[in-house]
Amino acid sequence: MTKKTILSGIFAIALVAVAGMGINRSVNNDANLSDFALVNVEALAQAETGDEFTQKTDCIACQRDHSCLGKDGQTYSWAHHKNDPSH
Amino acid sequence: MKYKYVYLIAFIGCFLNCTSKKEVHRESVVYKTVTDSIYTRMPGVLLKFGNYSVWQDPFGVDGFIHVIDTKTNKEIGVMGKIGQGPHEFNTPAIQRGTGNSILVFDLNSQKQGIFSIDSLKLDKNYYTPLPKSNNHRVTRKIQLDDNSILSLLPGNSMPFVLENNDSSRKEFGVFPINEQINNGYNIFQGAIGYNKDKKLLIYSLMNFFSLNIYERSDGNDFTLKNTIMPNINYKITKSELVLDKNTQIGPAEMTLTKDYIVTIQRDYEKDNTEESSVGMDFSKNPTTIFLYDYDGNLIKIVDVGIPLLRIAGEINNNELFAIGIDNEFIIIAFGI
Repeated sequence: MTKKTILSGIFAIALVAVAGMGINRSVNNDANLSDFALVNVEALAQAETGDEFTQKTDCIACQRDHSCLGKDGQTYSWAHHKNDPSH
Repeated sequence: MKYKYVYLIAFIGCFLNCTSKKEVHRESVVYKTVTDSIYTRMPGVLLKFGNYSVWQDPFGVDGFIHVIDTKTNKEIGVMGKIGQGPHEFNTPAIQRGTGNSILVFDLNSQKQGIFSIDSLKLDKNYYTPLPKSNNHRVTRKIQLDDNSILSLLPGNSMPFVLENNDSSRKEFGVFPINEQINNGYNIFQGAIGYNKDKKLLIYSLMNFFSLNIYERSDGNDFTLKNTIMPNINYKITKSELVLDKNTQIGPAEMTLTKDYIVTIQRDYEKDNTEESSVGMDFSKNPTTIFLYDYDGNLIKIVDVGIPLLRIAGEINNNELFAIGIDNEFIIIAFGI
């Protein structure tokens, strides 16, 4: 095994290790966010298929800059109430 | 004498022609693409500060405010984090501050602050916290000047609360439908904007069309100058207002320019897309903007030629930024 091959292998391993650290840090940081903040972000990600979100909050994600008072006492952005007559 | 009937018919014809609804001018515009590097599931608020375009990423945990230099079409930086730290927000709502700054408040806490584009450009500390404010049931906030912030509370008995640096507080305004209801928070949500040169506050509702124009006198007094609204059919059931199912939805987006109040609205004479079919299918969004003068008169309808999601202008010119959909989200620029 040549010196060049060994160095390439070390570099590749180092690259994977750094990437793994970045992912781990990101996951831990996300885990430190309040569940509430993540709920709003996840609600937008799930859009109209966020059945669990709607069941928990009575809110439905939408593209309008609308706010929804959830039945859990929190206010959600980019969402409207399921009983909103205009939607 | 024998011509008196001719003169009478001619007079009636002229009278009807003068008083009949004037046809709205329609035109198209050619836009320039600023950037197609909008990497998000859905862009939030769009703002314009001279040559700088600011867009909100509702999914941006590590940065929910993006600033783009439209001269170079490059992003110059990202500001704002989601979280519970001293400079972080759980559920940020963003709007214009004064100068080149962005006002951010948290929908679920008393936190609010200012993010400075000028400081971001100089790589300085760009965040300045503001005194805590009761943000419960506030849906919009704008900074009128360095001393005062205006909030919209659609569920309150009066729509607006003006808070000043001297801790004074004033509620004012009327809703366009004068009924005692429990669901005002859902019914009366909308966009607000302030033209400080004309001293006019504009309140445009989202659930039905209603454009409300308030004039600011010296100090902090606002007077309702005009309300533009078609006849709205509704009923009150168990203290809740229920709109007639045929009620035309109001504009989702409104911005102010030097000469116009600009909204994203569907031109139903040319586009009969059912609003109930749109949902999160952005390709079905309207391609038109409506331009009203500051008396609330519809002046013209402009077809931008691309489905539109957001619109942003400023009061010292008639240039606009918009977020459109062309297979992906893009920021475009055009003049009106």
